[in-house]
Amino acid sequence: MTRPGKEKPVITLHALTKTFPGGVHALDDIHLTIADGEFFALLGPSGCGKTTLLRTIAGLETPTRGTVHIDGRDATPLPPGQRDVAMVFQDYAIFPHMDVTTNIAYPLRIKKVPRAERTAKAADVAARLSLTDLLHRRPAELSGGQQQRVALARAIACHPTAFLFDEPLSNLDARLRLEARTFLKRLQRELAVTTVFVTHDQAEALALADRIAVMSAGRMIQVATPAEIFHRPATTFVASFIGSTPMNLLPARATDAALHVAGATLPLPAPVQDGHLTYGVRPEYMTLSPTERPDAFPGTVSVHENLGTHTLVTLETPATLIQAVVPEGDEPPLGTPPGPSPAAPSSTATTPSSPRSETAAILGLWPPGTGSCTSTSTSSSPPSNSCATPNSAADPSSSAAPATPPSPAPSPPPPPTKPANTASTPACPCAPRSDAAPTPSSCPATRPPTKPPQPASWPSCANSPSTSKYGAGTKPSSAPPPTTPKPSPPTSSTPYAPAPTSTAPSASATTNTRPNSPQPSPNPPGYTASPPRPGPPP
Amino acid sequence: MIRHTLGRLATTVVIAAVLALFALPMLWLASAPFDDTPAITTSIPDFTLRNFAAILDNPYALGSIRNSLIQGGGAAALVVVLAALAAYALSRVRVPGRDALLYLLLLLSSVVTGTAAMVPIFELATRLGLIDTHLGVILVVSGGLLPAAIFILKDFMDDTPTSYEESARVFGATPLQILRHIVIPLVRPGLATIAVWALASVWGGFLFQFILLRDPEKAPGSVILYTLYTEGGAPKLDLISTFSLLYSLPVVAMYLFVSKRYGFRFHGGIKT
Ligand SMILES: Nc1ncnc2c1ncn2[C@@H]1O[C@H](COP(=O)(O)OP(=O)(O)O)[C@@H](O)[C@H]1O
Ligand SMILES: [Mg+2]
Repeated sequence: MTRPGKEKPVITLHALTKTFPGGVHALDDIHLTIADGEFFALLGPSGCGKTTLLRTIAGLETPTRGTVHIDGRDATPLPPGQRDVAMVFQDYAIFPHMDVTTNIAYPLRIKKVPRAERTAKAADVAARLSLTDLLHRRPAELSGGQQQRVALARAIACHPTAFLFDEPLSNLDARLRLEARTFLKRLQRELAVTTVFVTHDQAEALALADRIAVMSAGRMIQVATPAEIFHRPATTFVASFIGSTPMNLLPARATDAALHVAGATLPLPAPVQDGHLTYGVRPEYMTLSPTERPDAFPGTVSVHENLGTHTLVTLETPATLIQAVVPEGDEPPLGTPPGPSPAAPSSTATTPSSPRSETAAILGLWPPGTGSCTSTSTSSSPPSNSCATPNSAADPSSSAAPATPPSPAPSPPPPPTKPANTASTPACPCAPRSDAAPTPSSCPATRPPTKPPQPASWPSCANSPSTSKYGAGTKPSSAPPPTTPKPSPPTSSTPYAPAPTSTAPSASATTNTRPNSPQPSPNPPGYTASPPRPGPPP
Repeated sequence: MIRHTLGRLATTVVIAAVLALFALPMLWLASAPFDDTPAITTSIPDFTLRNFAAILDNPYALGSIRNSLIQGGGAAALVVVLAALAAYALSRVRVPGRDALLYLLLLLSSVVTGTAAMVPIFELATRLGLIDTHLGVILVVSGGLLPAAIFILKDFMDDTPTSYEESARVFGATPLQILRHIVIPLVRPGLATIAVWALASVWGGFLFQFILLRDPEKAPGSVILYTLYTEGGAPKLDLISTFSLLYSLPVVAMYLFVSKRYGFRFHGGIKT
C-alpha cells in the first residue's frame, strides 16, 4: 500500500480555480498531490465542487486558473483523451446501443486495437468482474450493480494512469452499496492504480480511502487519512460532517489548566490559551455514569435512538444536548431527573474519563481567534489501537495512564472479546499534530489550512493495526507497520486526558484493544470480528 | 341510462362520419385504378388492369417517379445531415439567444417555402443556373424543411445525456468518432423520423417543382399528375387514379419499413 507523500505524485493540482460563467466559484485555489497507487476520496456535501474538480482533472472542464499535472506532465492544456485517465460517471454512461463487450472494448476501439484482440481483452476484464455471462446483453438489460461493474470494466480495459470515479456507488441501493464498496476496495488494491473518487457519503470515504480531502464550497478544508480526519478534524465543519452520529460540539472555556464544558471541568488535554473554545467529542466515546462526577456532564436522559447494536442516548443538560452511544441493553431510563442528581437515573455523560475505544473523543478546540490547537498535549496518550481485535492483550488504556505507551500491562480485565466500547473516553484536545497520527483528538484550529499529509501516516484504520501511536508525542513509534487488517470498529483508545476519575463504573473496563503495543502488532490479518456484544456494562 | 346510451351512440356516429370522410378518398384510390370506367364516385370496380398499361405508355410517368425519388431522397439526405449537425451544435454549445433564433427560423421557414418568396427564389435560381436541375429543387425545398428539422432534432439531442459523449472523449475519441459512434446511434429514431418526413414533404410538394422545372423529363410525379388532363381540360380519371396509386406506393412502403426498423418518435429520449 502506498503511503502518501512518499511515492511519486501521479496527480498534482496547483492553485486550481474554476469559476463558472454565472459567477459560481466551484473551485477555489485547490492544491493537492495524489500519490501513485493511492485510493483518494473527495468528500463533501452536495454542490461543494467535487464533480467539478474531478472533471477538471479529466479535462472536461477548463480551469480558470491553476494547473493540473498528471504523471509528471503538465496536462492543463491537454484534451481529455490525451491525459490517460479513465472516468466513471455517476450515471455510468455506458453506451445504451452497444452490448457489454462492445462497451468494454470501446476504449480499445478508439486506440485502434484490432477487433479480435479487443474482444478477447474485454472478455478478460469482464471475467475479472464476473460479467462473463452478460457479455451479450445491452445495458438496459442489466441491473444497477451490473451496470456499475461494466462501467468499471470499461475503465479498467483502457489501462489508465489514474481512475476518476464520480460517486460510483450512489446509484446503488443500500445493501448493494456495501457489497460494491468492498468489491471496489479489493479491486483497487489488486490493480494498484491511483484512484480518485468522489463521494458525499462520509462512511464510504472513511471505509475506502487511503486519504480523504474534505471539501466545502470549493475549498479543501482538510486532507488527511481517514483516521486522522475522524480523530482530529481540522474544523467544526469536518467534525460535524464526519461520523455516523453527529459529534457533540460544545462551547468550552479554558482557564488555568482546566476546561469548563457544559457543567463539567475537565483537565486540559493540551495546552491552549485561555479563552473560549469548542470542545468536540464523539458520542461513541462517551460513557454514561449513573452518578454525578466532576468530570462528566450532568443532565437528563431525554431520547433513545436505536442504532441496532447500540443506542444513541441524548442527554439534556442545562445548556445543551449531549449525545452518547451506549451498547444495547445499557440504556439508562428516560427522563430521569434533570439535574445531576446523583441518583442513578440521571446520567452523566462522561467524556473524558477513561478511554473508550480508540477514537477517543475528539476534541476540537477552537480558540476563537486563530489559535490552532496544535500544541502538543502534554499528556501522552496511551497508545490505542485502532482496530479492535480481539486480542488478548489488553490495553490498559484506561484513564489514567496516558503516559505510558502501550504497556502491555494487563490492565483491566480485558473482556476478551469486547473490543471497544467499554470505557469511557477521554476527550482529547488537540493532540499534536505532528506525530500522532490518529489521535483521537482532533484539534483543529479554526481553520487550518489543509495540512499536508502526515508523514507517518497511518494507514487507514482499516488496515492497519497500527501501532499505537495515538496520542501525543510521547510515543515513539513511528511508522506503524500496518498490519492487521482490521475488523471493524476502530477502537483504540487513547486516553487523552487522563481521566481523573477513577474509572467510573463504566469506565473501568478498558477495552481490550488489541495489543497495542507499539510494535507492530502481530495480529494476523484475520478478521476478528469482535465478538458480538461485549462486555457487560457495568 | 338511456341518456348515456344515446350519448355513446351520438359519439360513435360522429366518429364514424369523420372517419368516412377520410376513408372514402382512400377507398377511391384503391378501387378506381382497377375500374374500367372510373368516376369521381366510389363504386365496386368493373375489374381491369388496362389503366396500368395505359399509364406505363405515358413517356413521363415512370421517369417522374424516379425524379421524385432523386429530389425527395436528395432533400431528405441534405436535411438530415445539416439538421443533425446544426441541432447537435445548438444542443451542446451555449449560444446566446439560441431559442429565439430557432423560433425565428421556424417562423420564417413557412415564408421561405411559401408563395411569398416564389419570385425572388425563381430569380435566384435563374441567376445561379439552377433552373431545370434536381439540385435547384433539392436546395430550395431543403431550405424550407431545415428549421423544423433542426427544432425536432435538437430536442432529441437535448435528451441525450452528455455523459456518453464525455465518457467517449475521456477515452480519446475525436469529435467525428463521437458523432459516429455515440450520437448518431442514439438519435437514430429522430433521424429516421426527419428523413421520412422530409421525403414525404418533397414527394407531395408541387409549387416549387412546378416553377423550377420546365423540362418534363425532370419533373417529379406531383407535377406529372397535373398533366394528366385531356386537351379540353377534363381530368383523365383512369390515369390520374392509377398514377396516384403508383405514386403513393413507394412512400407507404418506405414508411412501413422505417417505422418497423426504427420507430417514429417526435421527441427525444433514449431507446435501447
Ligand atoms: N456547468 C456549470 N455551470 C455553472 N455552474 C455549475 C456548473 N457545474 C457545476 N456548477 C456549480 O458548481 C458548484 C459545484 O458543483 P459540483 O462540482 O457539481 O458539486 P458536487 O459534485 O460537489 O455536488 C455548484 O454550485 C454548481 O451549481
Ligand atoms: Mg457531483
